[in-house]
Amino acid sequence: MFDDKFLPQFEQIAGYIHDGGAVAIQQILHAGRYGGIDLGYCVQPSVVPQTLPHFRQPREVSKEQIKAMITQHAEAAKRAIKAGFDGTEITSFMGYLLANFNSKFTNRRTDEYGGSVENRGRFMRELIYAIKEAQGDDHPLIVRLNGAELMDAHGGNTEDECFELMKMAGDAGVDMISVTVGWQEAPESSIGRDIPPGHWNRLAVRAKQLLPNIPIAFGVRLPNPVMANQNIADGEFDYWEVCRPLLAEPELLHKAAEDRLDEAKHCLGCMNCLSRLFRDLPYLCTNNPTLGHEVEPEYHITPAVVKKKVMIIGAGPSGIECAIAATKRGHDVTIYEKSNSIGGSLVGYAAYDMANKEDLRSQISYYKTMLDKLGIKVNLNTDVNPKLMRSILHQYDVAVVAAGAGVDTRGLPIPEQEGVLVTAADVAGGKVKVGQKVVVLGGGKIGLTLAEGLSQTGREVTVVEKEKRIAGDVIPTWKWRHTSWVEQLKIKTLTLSKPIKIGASGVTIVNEKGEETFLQADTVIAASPRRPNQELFQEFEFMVDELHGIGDALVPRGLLQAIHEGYRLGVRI
Amino acid sequence: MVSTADEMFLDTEGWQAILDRRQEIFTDMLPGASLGILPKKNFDSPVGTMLTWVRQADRMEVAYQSFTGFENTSVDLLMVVDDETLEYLHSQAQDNAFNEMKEQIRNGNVLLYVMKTLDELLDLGYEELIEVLKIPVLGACR
Ligand SMILES: Cc1cc2nc3c(=O)[nH]c(=O)nc-3n(C[C@H](O)[C@H](O)[C@H](O)COP(=O)(O)O)c2cc1C
Ligand code: SF4
Repeated sequence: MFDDKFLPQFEQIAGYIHDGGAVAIQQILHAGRYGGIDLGYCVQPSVVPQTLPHFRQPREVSKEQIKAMITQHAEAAKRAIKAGFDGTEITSFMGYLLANFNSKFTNRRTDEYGGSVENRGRFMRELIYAIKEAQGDDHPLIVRLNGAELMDAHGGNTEDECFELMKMAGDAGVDMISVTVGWQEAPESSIGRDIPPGHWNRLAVRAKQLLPNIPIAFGVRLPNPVMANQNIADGEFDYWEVCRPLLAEPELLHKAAEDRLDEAKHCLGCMNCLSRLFRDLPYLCTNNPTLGHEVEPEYHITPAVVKKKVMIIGAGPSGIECAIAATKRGHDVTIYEKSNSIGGSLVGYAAYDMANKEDLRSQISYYKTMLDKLGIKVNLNTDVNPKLMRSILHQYDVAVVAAGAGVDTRGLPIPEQEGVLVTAADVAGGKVKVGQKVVVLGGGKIGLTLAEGLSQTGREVTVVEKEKRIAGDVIPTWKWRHTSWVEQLKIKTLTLSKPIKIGASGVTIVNEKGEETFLQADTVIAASPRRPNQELFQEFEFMVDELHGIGDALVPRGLLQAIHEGYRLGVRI
Repeated sequence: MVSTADEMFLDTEGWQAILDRRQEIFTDMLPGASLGILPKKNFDSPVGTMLTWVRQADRMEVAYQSFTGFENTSVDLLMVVDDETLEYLHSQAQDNAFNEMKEQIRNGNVLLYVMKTLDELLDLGYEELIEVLKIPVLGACR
């Protein structure tokens, strides 16, 4: 928004929003402490170095620069209105420029822009006055303000100070306040999967009580429109804000309005979207493979020119995603599933998940609904093998191997007693009884999830990992969560170690120094390495016209790849 | 015998012992890589003393520098600690002081500032220390 040359693009965006029947508000954001990607440095009220090495080192802004920045914001607002937006928004959360001035963590100035709350809020007040004057009274100005910064350890604002600033914004004439939570570098969760939906509503309630005459918008980690509706009816806030749930399900609002929420995908709270931004990569969504690819025909569901009979082997996320997309295109799809339920390894994950189990379970409910509504046939308890294939030869044009991955136990010592060694899938699927003392072989995401879940039920758990570190296959933004849970639950982890003997009463392991340790165990769980279930590729090669593979059956990875590959194949076959 | 926080802060031998117990963490660091520990009370004063660990050719070594503000410091990482935490860390010399440091960073008792970008830190050989202290290198996004 900093130059008129962008006007045509913004006109188009405002036009799209209006065409959809919505009010268009343009956010004007100076990224402050988190900006300067092209500059190699960032500007801040004072020089307070970063706590995260991703961001650039700060330079202090002069008073002249402050005045210039306020003018630039006002000009941007004028431009936004000229482009057709109905109003504008400025944002003081997550640690962007306005937050840097408001917070005593980053504002250590000794002039009239620093010091007391009154002084720290001066930049915000001047911004509000300047923007309101620039865009006129007919166009609302919203300000996003932290109800909690979660930066107490670094000397950030207290909640009371946050609300003092909110009152100040109200007094300065802002038309709506959006209540937000946390900074990018806050050491605790604000919007992750470990935060239960509705957790932060208390901050919106406090804002509403403080400023009864100013509309309050809120939506941090509040992914459920039904819940949000109820909160509004209860007077907790006035408008529901929604970000990630719309990334995961762009049709969320339409589906809600048409009473089809069971057909809506959910935001899983997994944070893959934001973690990509931290690598300066375009964002994506685990649950929505089309995000960021909306204009690419390769990602669109278009009617199939040749309608085919498709068999999908495996009712995990990759298989079901493929089935849904292919069915929508007009193919006739049948899924074969070895176990007695759909969902694949997601079911086991959900059962042992220490975060919000409902996030993963909601995915399985969504799949059930869609299979049902689209009339996709699912043959449960059906092992697809060459014998079955021979019996149905030529019935299908396409076979898709989406059989997931298992644990490769071939590299493990042969157990001296049957029943001591079980696999992660056996445990996750509830097929085996787990004893009190447990050793988990493999400290990746599967091993850790099981270890945490079992430990939570009072079992004594030790994790043995052959690599130097645990959580090697966990996405960067979730690693800390596992290590923190492991510590909290006092799960013992032994790295650079591998089992050399699995006996009736436990495992003997050896570390990189050659030292042997005996770990007593009633149950030993093999959780890694994972091995793709690929046997069917060769066996079926001459049995079906088209043969494809997706998800963990190709290379064991995670939910994101399963969903994306399943969808991408479904829109192509 | 060192007993007060100030004495502990200036206990070169004590800090060197802590480093010597875990020199393997610093093996990959380039000479000159350095980390500062600054008592909170020195943080706002115009001139204070900062304890540093500086990578020499063969090992990580304790030294002291004056601290005159964030802008002027050349250390790669800066830990700001209050007296209580400093005493606690110092008292862990015989145990796993780094594990304790990790805990204190997580609890917010040690404030960790990074003066270099991730790429620069990795180039300087900080990977192991980043892992040991569990510094959230890829952003919190929590
Ligand atoms: C990928 C991504 C980008 C975001 N960019 C912005 C932004 O530019 N400005 C802003 O005010 N908030 C931004 N946010 C924060 C959201 O507006 C929202 O406050 C936050 O995600 C919590 O709401 P949710 O639980 O509905 O996602 C972003 C969030 C995500 C996930
Ligand atoms: S990537 Fe994860 S957190 Fe982000 S919108 Fe998608 S499901 Fe939600």
